[in-house]
Amino acid sequence: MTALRPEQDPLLVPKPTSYGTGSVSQPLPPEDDPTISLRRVEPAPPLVTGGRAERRRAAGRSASAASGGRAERRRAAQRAARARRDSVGVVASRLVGELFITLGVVMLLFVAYQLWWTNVIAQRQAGGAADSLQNSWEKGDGPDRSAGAFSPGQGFAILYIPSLDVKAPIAQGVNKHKVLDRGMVGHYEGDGAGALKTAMPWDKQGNFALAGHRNTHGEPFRYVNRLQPGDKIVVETKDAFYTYEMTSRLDQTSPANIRVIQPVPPGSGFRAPGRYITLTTCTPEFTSTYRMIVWGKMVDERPRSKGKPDALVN
Amino acid sequence: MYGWIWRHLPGNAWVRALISLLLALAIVYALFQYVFPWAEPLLPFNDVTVDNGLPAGSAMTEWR
Repeated sequence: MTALRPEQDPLLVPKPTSYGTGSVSQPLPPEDDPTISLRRVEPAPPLVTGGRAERRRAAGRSASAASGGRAERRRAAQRAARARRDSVGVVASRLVGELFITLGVVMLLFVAYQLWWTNVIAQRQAGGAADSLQNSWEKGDGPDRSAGAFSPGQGFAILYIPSLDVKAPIAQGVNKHKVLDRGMVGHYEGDGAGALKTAMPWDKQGNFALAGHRNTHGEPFRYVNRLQPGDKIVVETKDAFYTYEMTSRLDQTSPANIRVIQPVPPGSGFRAPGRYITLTTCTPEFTSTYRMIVWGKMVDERPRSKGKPDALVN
Repeated sequence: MYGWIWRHLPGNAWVRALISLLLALAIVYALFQYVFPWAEPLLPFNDVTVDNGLPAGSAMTEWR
């Protein structure tokens, strides 16, 4: 059994030593080892004419005589590796197999990136954005809140959903790279033509429409499907806390259905213009096939000077 | 491929293992920092807005 191990290659045995079994006066020729003959496939000259028992004894002798160090054994292994050349087919199929394994590992890494790393990064960015917003409000040098004064990607408010333990900064625009992928909630600010432009919380009436990630990148809207009618949604701005109450939900709609963010969205149950909030996110989870919509209406507006609203205190 | 890399690394087995580990970490870093952020928008996982990529007016008429 030891004959299969290359470190006992008798080619390297320096000299039969005295602790052999007795018949060491005649060193074995290299081809004598059955391992080598097996490896090289070519038939070895049958110098050992005895039976299996004799061959085993010979192997045992050479094994006991192998006194080379580790480096020597490694060199022997390398030499043996060179001796058995792989054919082109073996090399090619090994390469293909290794490439497939690599591809699988990369895909697993991508899943880890999506489900874990984007959240780490986005929560760090969003937390920093929320803190800097609150700092600037406290110092009193917050952005001018007159309509249209916010540049795209600029944070201007903080969204709280106490029942879901959500706190996320709201930034202007729904650009993925600048806003949503940083863990922030985006406010539909519209394009140059004015389409998809929605109101601000402090507007006399209108629909304050927001978009946020359901999965990955901080996932602020992960559990919006668990909101119940009556749950509070609070928007904190430089001057006031605006408290909304969730009223209804549209579980699934087409991504092209932009009517859901109209001032009076059809299907929301609202009849007359008012001060509403709309949250849009993707559904089912981990896909972008449909959109889930949550609507709410404003129930309270509280100046900052009066402190936090009840929804954030309890 | 991996066998070829291993054979061409310098040093003994421990040094090679260390270099391999560093190489793997460098590759993972490059993937997380550059490759995955680049590939992510090309995959249809994370669109959350309504009217994504469609002109607003046409989407409205189409929906009606």
